[in-house]
Amino acid sequence: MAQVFSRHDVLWLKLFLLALLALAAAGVGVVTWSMQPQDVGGAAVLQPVPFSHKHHVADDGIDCRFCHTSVDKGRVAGLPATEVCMTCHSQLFKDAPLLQPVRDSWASGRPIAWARVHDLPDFAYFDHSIHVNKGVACMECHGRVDQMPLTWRNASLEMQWCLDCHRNPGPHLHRPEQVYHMPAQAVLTQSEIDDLLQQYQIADRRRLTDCSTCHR
Amino acid sequence: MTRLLWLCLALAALLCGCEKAKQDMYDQARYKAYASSPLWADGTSARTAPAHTVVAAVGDSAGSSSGRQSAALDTAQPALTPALLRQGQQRYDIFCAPCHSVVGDGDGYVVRRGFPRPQSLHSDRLRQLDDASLYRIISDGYGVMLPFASRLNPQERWATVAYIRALQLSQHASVAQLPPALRQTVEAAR
Repeated sequence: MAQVFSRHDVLWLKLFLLALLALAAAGVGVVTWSMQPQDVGGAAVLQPVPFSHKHHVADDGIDCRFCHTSVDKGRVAGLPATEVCMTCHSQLFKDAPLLQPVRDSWASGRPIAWARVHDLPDFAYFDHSIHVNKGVACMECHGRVDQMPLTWRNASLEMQWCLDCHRNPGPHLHRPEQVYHMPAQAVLTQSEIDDLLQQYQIADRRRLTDCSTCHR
Repeated sequence: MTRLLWLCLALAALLCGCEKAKQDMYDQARYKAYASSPLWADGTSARTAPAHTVVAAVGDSAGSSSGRQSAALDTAQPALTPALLRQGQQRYDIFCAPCHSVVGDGDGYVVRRGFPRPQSLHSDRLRQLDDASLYRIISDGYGVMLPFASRLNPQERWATVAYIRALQLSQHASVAQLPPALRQTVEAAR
């Protein structure tokens, strides 16, 4: 029986198959890259006003809840209304060009279009109040916000990352009065952690890892 | 033939790996909190009640459609309890201390940065002000102080008033008013 392909054709066929393989590999690479979590650390999210948490938290000592008023009451931490900015900035830096968007918003009643820093998938249920009221400090997820001149993401907020804590919350717990503190805190001993788990009623881990806890 | 079928099935199963590339469950067609909306002149999806809206619901469960009582809408002055004072202290330290300072003398850290200094809470005028007036000032603002009604619900405002009273008492208590144990300490120190 005669050969179907000449030796010359076989070479091209092999090259073609190799190219197909390389293309498939490149395709997988591109898709994997596009599915990476939002970039974490370093890259600041650009805002209409270059708001500095470092200045307001570290230099001025303003409590997180002064601006994020609903963090201990509801799902959303609360993005401050322009009124909250104007509480001080009607008097301080009241002619600063950087704050022009704030004054425009105050005069017109149109909110400032802040850019979202964290965008959770819409099928994940997250509630700020249950976390802060059960001892998960702000900095556990948001990092040292008091050292951020502009705000960036500190954690990926991927499911695996959430589960690391939901499976073993102890090391991430803080005393109620420490939740809104930013500087590094004293490390708790195991017995102190056990006490906190009892106090916050989260000693039973099963409820923390139920599917319906976060997907409802 | 069967082998080819199995191969196709296996390849189809691999599509599960592309779950994250399919974004329509990630970004569903609904507004998240603070989302912008082109539908309204002010550009936001969050709507506030129209001006001059009057609360029509009355009774114990008026504040909530689920029938639970809502402390947030109850504007009556609550009874003075240690829990109320603790809540008041917490809210005072968050919302008032930046200007009025933690002791109430008006030397807060925002004042040190140039904000006009408020009157000391220990002044005769502010000590003689009745609770309702303090509540109204917190709600509606006064002078360069903006209203705090959007940040403190009525119960929190009353708690803050109670704590301000405690602060004022702390600077104007006579030795005779102290509990016996404390009085002994003070008199021993004299």
